[in-house]
Amino acid sequence: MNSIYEKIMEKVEKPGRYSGGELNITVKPWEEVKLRVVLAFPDLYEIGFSHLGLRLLYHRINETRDYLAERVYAPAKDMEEELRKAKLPLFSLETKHGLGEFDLLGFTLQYELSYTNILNMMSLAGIPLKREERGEEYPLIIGGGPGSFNPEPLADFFDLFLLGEGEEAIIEILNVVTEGKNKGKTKTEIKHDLLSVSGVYLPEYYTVEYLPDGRVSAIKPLPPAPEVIYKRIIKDFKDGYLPEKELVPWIEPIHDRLMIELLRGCTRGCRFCQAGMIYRPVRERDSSTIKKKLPALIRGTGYEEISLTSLSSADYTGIEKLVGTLSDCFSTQGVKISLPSLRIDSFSPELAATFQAKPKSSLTFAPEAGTERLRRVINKNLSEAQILETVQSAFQAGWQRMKLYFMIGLPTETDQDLEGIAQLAKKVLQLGRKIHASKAGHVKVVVSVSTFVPKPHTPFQWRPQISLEETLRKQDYLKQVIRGKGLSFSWHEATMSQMEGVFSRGDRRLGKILETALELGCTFDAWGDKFRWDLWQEAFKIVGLKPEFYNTRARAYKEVLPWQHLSAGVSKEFLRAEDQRAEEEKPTFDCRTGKECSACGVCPTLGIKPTLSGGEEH
Amino acid sequence: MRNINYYRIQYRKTGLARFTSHLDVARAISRTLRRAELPVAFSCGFNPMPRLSFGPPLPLGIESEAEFMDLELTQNLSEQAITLALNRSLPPGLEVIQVTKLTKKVSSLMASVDSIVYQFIIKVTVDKRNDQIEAWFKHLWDSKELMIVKRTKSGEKPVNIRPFWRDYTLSFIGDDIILFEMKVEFGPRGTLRPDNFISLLPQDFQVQRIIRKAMYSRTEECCEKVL
Ligand code: SF4
Repeated sequence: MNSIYEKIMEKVEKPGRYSGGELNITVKPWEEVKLRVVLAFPDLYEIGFSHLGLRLLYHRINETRDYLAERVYAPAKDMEEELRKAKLPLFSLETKHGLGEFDLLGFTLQYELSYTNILNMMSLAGIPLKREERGEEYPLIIGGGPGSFNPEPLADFFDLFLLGEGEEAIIEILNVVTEGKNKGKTKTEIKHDLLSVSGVYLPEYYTVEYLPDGRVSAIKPLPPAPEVIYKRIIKDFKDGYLPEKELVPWIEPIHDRLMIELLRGCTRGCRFCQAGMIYRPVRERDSSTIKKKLPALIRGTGYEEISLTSLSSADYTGIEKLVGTLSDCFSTQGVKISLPSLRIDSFSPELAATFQAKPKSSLTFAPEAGTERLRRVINKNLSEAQILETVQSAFQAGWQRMKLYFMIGLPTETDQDLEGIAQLAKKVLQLGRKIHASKAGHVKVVVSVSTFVPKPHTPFQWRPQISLEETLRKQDYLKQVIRGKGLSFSWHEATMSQMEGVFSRGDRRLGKILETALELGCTFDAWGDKFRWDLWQEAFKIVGLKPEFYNTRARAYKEVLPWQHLSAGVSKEFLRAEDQRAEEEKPTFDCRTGKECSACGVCPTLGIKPTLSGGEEH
Repeated sequence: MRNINYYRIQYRKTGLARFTSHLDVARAISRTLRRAELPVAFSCGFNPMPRLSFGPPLPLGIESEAEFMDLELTQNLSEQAITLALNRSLPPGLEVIQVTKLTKKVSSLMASVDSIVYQFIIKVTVDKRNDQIEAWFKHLWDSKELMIVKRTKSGEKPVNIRPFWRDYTLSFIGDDIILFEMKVEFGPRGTLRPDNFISLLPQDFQVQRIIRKAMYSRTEECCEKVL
């Protein structure tokens, strides 16, 4: 390995973040492939390594003969300084090539507050930020992940975005680029060819026009770009792609276990949830595939835990049976099975006992809102009785600590709903104390509250976010009412939610804000201790835009939204109807079986249907 | 009761693996045991852990030819079979050198190790004769007190590391490379971390690599080198 890089690594706090050399990585001979891709996660190694989607693409690309994929994560401040001092570009973990030497640089857009890190990584690699300033010698910059459903704040910097699921589309993209390169085509010509890959969005093919007040008046495609770009979706997920091997890190990432994706999509229809809308419909993986693949993956990695992941794993058809079979099969090797989260309405103590490490640990439930009324508004139709019943059985099964997760600032929320949070928490605490009467002091209830941020492509995309002042007031209110022994309250930094809200529903003009914020020194904004509210405000002042225009402003249904030309397949009519039903507190049922279609539009538009093959073995 | 077999394993840690902390290596090795499909004895309890214990932790950034761990298996396997199985499964940078079957449970590595040898590969960037360099190290050795600044959670504090320095040898390669080997105490009183020692060297002595070379135990009846 390059000793210049080793020298640098010796100087930083956690060299393992950059050294590479993890078990089961792929290192291909640089000169012998047709195309080189570097996959970037714009946050620290510990966060980025844990991300399943990016790893899936990594293996998918490396399993081809002609392409190689390497990885890079955002360098911590100390590494950034060393790189700048040594005038070295940010480099890939596998072969320590500067990011600029790759043909494609792909960023995953997981959360808005990672956007300055994206620009910083490009800058550290010596790649001009603006698309029009990058000549032929620079890689194509591509974005994917949930952020690509409204990537407008990044539109000036990226060459293309991929909407939806990437494991098939990425190969098609690479094929088009290779073919273009073989024919000696320019970047512009290759990008033109990429219009033929469905799901690909090239921002330069769309001009955005604005009204004097800043609202978008029109988004005009330049021929031959399509009017609307629909997301990519894997139609046959039953035995959808699973890598043959999995990486094992040296240093400990936040999720340090073997992850297997059980199903995709969730159609429970929570009206605030973007994932529920953009990843529809539900498609389950065959349990036989999972059972067949797992033993080799454990043999190849040695992980002590298998996590069955998805948006809502307990919804998987026959989940209890699958977990039982897997536990029996792996427990002799000291491997345990876990689920990332449990839903209140699918919780059973037996199931939980298998998943959760030990009853001593705390159990998290997400009622999301404090009253039955507000839960009806967001279509999380849980009665208080249901919640208490679930909590009771958890206490009876031995748990002593509960974490309850809520949001504040949901549409139609009043102080009564906040009061409801406190009431519910107190009822849970009382219940726990009654059940654990002999050691009532051990019972703890943590109320964790985040601020609702309206997201594009959800029924609430037209709704205003609550202001900073209102957020602080609500948080203060909760601090007053959630008090007493056994109760504790934690909340999300109000200013961070404000900024998240800006970029979530932002337009192209925010590119300037990102650039300015970066110049002022903003990076790692998703980290509470790094987030600089003062600098962000300054950036808005310098550029002459107002955050309130983006986050706390209500939109009319007829307003042209900056993401109007991007579609997850869910119709605008459906979203609008759902927003109305929210007002009327009307439920919309889960369509997972396909019997009760609520006509969201995904299935007919994308030619797909829900598949619950799951654990049903015929 | 099950029949437990005790093994002491010496392994090396080289190259990029030196950037992996002690804790991370421990986790990597427990995963290696599962990959190697060795009949590891597990602890009882809710979270069964492999019966595995390690010797003195190696500071980050330092390589080693002499890392040790004790492992318990539920079957009597040959030393060679274990070496092969582990070396097939270890991640790059870790390699088993030797496996020794112990006839009985012995006191833990942490308790029995008494001194450690480190080798410094130093590049000298000024023109100095070998005897001048020898004199410089001799002078250091003769000092009663060698103060370094130790960074702790509660701030910086000066410590005298001389009492922990047991012995040294010096040899030369070519015109500008010194091989400096030092033996340091390891025990309840403390130890001397090789990276702390660097601060005592002059600017023009550039440490290229540090390698842990050997560990010794205190008791006579144990073989002199641990293992
Ligand atoms: S079209 Fe119907 S069945 Fe398909 S995801 Fe939407 S609501 Fe569900």
